[in-house]
Amino acid sequence: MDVNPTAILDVRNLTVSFKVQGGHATAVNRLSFSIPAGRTMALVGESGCGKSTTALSVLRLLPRNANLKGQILFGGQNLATLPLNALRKVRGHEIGMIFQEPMTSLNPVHRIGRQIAEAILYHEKTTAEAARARALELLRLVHLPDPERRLDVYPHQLSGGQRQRVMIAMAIAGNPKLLIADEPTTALDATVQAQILELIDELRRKLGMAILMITHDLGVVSRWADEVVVMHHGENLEHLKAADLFTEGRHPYTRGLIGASIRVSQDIHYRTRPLSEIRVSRDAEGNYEYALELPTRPKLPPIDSLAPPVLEVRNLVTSYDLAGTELRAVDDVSLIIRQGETLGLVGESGCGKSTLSKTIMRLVPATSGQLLFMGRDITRLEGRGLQSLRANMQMIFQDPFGSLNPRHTVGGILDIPLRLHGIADKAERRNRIAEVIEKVGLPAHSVLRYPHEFSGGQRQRIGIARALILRPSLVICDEPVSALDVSVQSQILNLLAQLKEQFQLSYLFISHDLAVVQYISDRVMVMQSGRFVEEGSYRDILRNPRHSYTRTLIAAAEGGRVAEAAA
Amino acid sequence: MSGLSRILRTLRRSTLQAIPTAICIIVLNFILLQMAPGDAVDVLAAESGAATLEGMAAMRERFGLNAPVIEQLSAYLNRLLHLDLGTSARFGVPIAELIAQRLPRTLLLMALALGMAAIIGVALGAVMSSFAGRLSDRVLSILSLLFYSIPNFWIGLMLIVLFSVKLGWLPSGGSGSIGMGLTGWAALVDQARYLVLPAASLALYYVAIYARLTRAAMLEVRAQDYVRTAQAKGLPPLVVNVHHILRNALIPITTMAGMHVGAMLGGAVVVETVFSLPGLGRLAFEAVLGRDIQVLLGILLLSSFFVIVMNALVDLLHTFLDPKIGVH
Repeated sequence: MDVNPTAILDVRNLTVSFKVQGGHATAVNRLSFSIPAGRTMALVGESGCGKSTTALSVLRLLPRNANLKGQILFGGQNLATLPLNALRKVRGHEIGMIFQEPMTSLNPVHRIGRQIAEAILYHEKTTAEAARARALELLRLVHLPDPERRLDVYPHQLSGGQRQRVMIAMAIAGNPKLLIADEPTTALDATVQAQILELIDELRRKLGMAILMITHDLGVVSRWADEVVVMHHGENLEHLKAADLFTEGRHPYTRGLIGASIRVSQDIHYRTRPLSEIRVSRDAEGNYEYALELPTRPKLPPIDSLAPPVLEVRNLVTSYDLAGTELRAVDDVSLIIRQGETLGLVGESGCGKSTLSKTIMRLVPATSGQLLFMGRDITRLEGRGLQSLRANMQMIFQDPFGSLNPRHTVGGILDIPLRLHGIADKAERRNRIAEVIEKVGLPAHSVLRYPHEFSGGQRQRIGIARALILRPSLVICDEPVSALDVSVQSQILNLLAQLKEQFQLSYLFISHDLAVVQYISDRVMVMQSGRFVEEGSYRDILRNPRHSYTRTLIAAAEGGRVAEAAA
Repeated sequence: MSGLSRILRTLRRSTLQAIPTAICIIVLNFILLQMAPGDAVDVLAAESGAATLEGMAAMRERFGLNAPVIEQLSAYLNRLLHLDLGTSARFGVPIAELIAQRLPRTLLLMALALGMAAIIGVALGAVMSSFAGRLSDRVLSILSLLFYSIPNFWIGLMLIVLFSVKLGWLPSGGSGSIGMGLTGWAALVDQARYLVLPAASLALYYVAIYARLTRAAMLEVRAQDYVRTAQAKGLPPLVVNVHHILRNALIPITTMAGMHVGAMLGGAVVVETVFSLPGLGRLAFEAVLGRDIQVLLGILLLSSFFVIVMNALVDLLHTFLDPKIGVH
């Protein structure tokens, strides 16, 4: 046995399986890695690759139906077999952990200070005053503004980024030797994400912790980690220095992930280069095979800047009444989308981009301003006119799980809009459904299946088919790839580009992800607090950002130091 | 200070909401009872065995029973406005007095039963959820199913058979020992002895309900992210179960528990009959038999207010349990 003397955590042949109906499902398969003291190790992979299961295994936080084999060596103990009493002294004290969802990871009925002090009281057997003082000190350490007052607030009174800071304060309360961060920034806005990652790294240096970082984001890995393990189906495919990830990654799956993920610095565009797609298959013996595919480039005509616009928005205001005060979610916004153009709209949560898309779709009434679709004023359109407009303007939603009715087959979901828009002939409806199913790349028998039988990416294809079945001229895509893995994201983005060619579509593409918007759009608008702060071609916006907020977004997307860029 | 203002706001909202509810209840009760066949005079006449049509008409005249329904309603509402519940045709006593005599015992019975049900039910539910799927959970689930399905009059009778007849520990009925001249503490203990069996038979059904509610609510909370956070902090299972799981599960439990309190009043009628306790339930039962609509209306009105007050209390409890309430 070669014991690595400097390793703080040494995981050997970890195998985790879950008891499921009729057998076992293996989530992690003979995984080995070790983390040197004070270093950052990243586990990277897509959903279902076993990275989160690995993170939870270290502290044995897995559900009861999990079976864990192998060794997890930490501080001379094997955590895999340690009795629960002894393990509890490690949890939260020698190993801290933070989770993906800051919104739900804090107990909603207890005050922040108490939640932090709780673990200190239990582990260190101090007085309540001492624990509270330590909690305050920790809140200062994680740079939570106004910490004295914040000790006594409830989680719902804090923003997502602030809650994640509280989570970090809780995790480092015992000066742990290891911090496990399970997708710590996935649920946060790009600018907040960069700040949190910076904080974690700062604390690593200050407290001399090692970090086990779980992430799907290759950019985060290359910027913040020392070493990286690429995972798929619970196995270690490749172990690399994080700095070499983009250049030295040899495994076809790693290459595929790199090809599929878009970085702002890359300067690639859908008109010139489709994204490479990973094809994973299993041969007869059950071995995985990975292949890379580059689809053909769609032939798109250049945008005729003199053609009449498909959509024109003039001085649009949408406001909500919030307990008597008017809240302007969209504040005096104007935009134009021309035939065949993709207008990208980028902004962080709460900037008003979803309200804008709903107002354009006429799902939310406009307070003032004008909407012109194909030159026709649709701001106050009602009845039949509105219905025929809906056939020409469709929407693709973010959540491929919640936006399809689970009680209808895919065929039924696609049939309803056709019937509603007066296509009485059954054979014609069936032909059109078959055609659109084929166009979005789903197998023909999908028509008879229910949404839950499909993966996230396939469901998003169903959502796209539903939007396209009425042959609209404008499609509003509201965060269509945010809930998807990178390899699926590249497939959907390629599909959107191909469909644009086949159906002569114009898109309004809304996303919080600057890199994706930049790739798929011809023109980009940046939105902040209900207003457009900047507009430009996809190149200009990146090369010559004029507004400081745009520069902040770019810096955050590059994983750089946000504070410096903003200054 | 913000806590007090939140409570005051909740109270004000509850009171404002209660007013239209109360008016609807009064009118609805009145109309429903008018639709029932027969009246107090019919019963009195039948009981006396020798009443003439003229005598009955004169009695109806006296009680105001032959006026048009609308007139009767407006007269009733008018009396209510002056806080007068009327006089019982059967007992010849002001209804308020009649109710005041019976109310304390019923309230005490219900409070005892509710307290027992809540404490035992939540405790059992907590145990069941902690051992979900294991033997202790299975056994308790079957027990709670039994309690849930056995009618409480039968439980009452069986408790009498066991504790009064066989063991002789507790009295089988009534409200206190007669002729002992007990005072002070001794009188209280004596009365309490008479309430143990009725309260227990009333509580068992609710023990089952609360246990199942608590189990379900705690299992749901157990799947929340913050429970995993608590475990990752290294807290022992008891602290996780009580501070993090049960504390959050109390919010749905109190909602459901509050809704069941009204139904408990119905159960009290049966239990008071079995244990011959002179309470509000028995009074209601006698009023129905005697077609004494005024008394029944008074009791229904009181029960409605009771439910409204309980709902307000539950709302209040929620502002205390859930910091998110009252913010928006």
